[in-house]
Amino acid sequence: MKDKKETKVLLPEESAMPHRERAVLKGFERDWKSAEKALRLTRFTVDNLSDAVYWMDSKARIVDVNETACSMLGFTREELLNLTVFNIDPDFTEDKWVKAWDTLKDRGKMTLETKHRTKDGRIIPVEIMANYLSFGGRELDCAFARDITEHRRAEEALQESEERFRSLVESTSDWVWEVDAQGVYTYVSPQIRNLLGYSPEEVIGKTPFDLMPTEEARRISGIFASISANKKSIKNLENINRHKDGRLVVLETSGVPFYDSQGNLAGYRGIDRDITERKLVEERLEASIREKETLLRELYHRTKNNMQVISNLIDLQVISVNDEQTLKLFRETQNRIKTMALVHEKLYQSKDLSNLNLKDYIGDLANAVLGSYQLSADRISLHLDVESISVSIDTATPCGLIINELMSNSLKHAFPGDRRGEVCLSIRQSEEGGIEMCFSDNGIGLPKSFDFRNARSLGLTLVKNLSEKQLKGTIELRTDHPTEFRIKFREPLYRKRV
Amino acid sequence: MIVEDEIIEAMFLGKILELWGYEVCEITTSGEDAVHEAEVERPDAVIMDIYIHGKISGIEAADKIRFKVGIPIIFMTGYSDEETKQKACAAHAAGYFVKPLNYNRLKEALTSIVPQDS
Repeated sequence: MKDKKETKVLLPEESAMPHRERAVLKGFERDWKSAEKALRLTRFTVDNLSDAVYWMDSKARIVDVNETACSMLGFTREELLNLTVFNIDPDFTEDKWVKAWDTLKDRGKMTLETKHRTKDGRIIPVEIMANYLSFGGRELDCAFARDITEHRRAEEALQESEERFRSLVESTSDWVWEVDAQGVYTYVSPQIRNLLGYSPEEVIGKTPFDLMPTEEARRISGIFASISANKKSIKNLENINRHKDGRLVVLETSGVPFYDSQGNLAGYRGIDRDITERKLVEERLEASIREKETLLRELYHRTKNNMQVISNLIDLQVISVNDEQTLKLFRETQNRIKTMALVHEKLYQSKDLSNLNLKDYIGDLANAVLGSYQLSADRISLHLDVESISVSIDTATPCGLIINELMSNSLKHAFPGDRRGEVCLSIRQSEEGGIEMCFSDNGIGLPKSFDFRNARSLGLTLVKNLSEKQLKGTIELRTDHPTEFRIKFREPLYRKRV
Repeated sequence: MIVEDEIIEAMFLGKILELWGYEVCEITTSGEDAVHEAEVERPDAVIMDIYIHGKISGIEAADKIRFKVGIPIIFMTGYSDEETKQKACAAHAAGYFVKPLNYNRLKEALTSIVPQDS
């Protein structure tokens, strides 16, 4: 309140007044002061409202304002009282004012959005709540103006965000949807036309299962019931739908649950992607892979059979050979062929056709080599300790040939006469990922000075070259009892060619 | 020098070359080893398989050997496709043989590069 002077009521000399009049005057003064206090309080309240308040007459002249109006527009109260609505509202013309005044007078109240111009020329969007009042013979418009700049900004941001969302939803090739807690579509993006041929309006109110063949609907509704009961997300759920034209379309569905304010499941929102083409390509690829697998298996099988035929041809040839040395050469050659044939046999029995298990392969091979020398089990015993290690054909074949040569050498030379003994073979995977093969026998042993690197025999030359050059490994020989070959290498050695 | 990742094939070829009177200074199974050994051993010729162990192919190894020490290369391969043949020609090979090898023609090619009395 600016006017802080108390209104003084001029009274005649109290002593000159009769007692009763003096009492009346005292009461009148008390009422006046009380009314003045109420008026000050009201004015204070009005001045400190968050809304600007304008009182205007029928000619749009501003007749009073509150403090907020002054601070919002940057004028002093005196300046504003010399202005009209047209000075502060760039949108209001006289015609518009006349119409608005008539409407206000008719309705008593009205709300509108307009703009106010500040003293420094800024434009502020405002919401006006106008009230008509007739007071003391004057007609007034008491208008509350609220600055809605922030509200407008929030609205524009929301509108922009909605627009962005809508353009994303409508430009993506995926179909965006929303279902309620009962699985009924409540929103369907226009892309459904491209995917299933329906308009969004045709699908809203339906469930996803209405768009599927009966069997598929039963399968998927079971899955969806389980997912929604646990309020889980739907992740890449493949499902078959029927296009409006009757053909089948494979969709991949993903979605997340959403909840109401009480935390109850309100529905799911998600996307569907047409993966029909992808599924067809996948099926063709799978068929092609199956066909290649069949061919590869057949190839291994025939290779093994052809090697068996070569071995049989050698058997036929051997019938007419009497020379012991020649017979020995044929038998060694046959064993080498069988070693390689067994790799192919194990490969066509393997699951992935490119790797085989060393335990199976070396176990069968070692027993076959022992059998080929027709030595009874009570004379030479074989101890195998081979881990299950998966290796490629490029590792298995040299491993097999090395074992064949080392075992053959032992069986030929380490147990002369009726000497009994044992051969031991272990193959283990080292902690560093390498493979360690250890072959030993407790036969008569090799001379301490034996230099296997310069040995002239084909068998040991093969062992050395296969270990060091083919497997890129190392080989050590211990000639103290028992005789032991230790070969270390790593797998894989090089790019696969199968 | 022989570069061949099937060591038994390499050993057999080595025996044949020795029978023809050549000395096989080294047998290697990878392209990287071949480049290294060619620099160390400086052989008169290299008989090189195209698809071999290691990170580089026989053709890449041959390029490096030709660039570093200028040794003639004879290629041998189990793959008779046109692309492999063109790659071998582009590598200025002194010979190109598809396996199984025709040893008479290999001998002729080798003799034209390295006469047996050298």
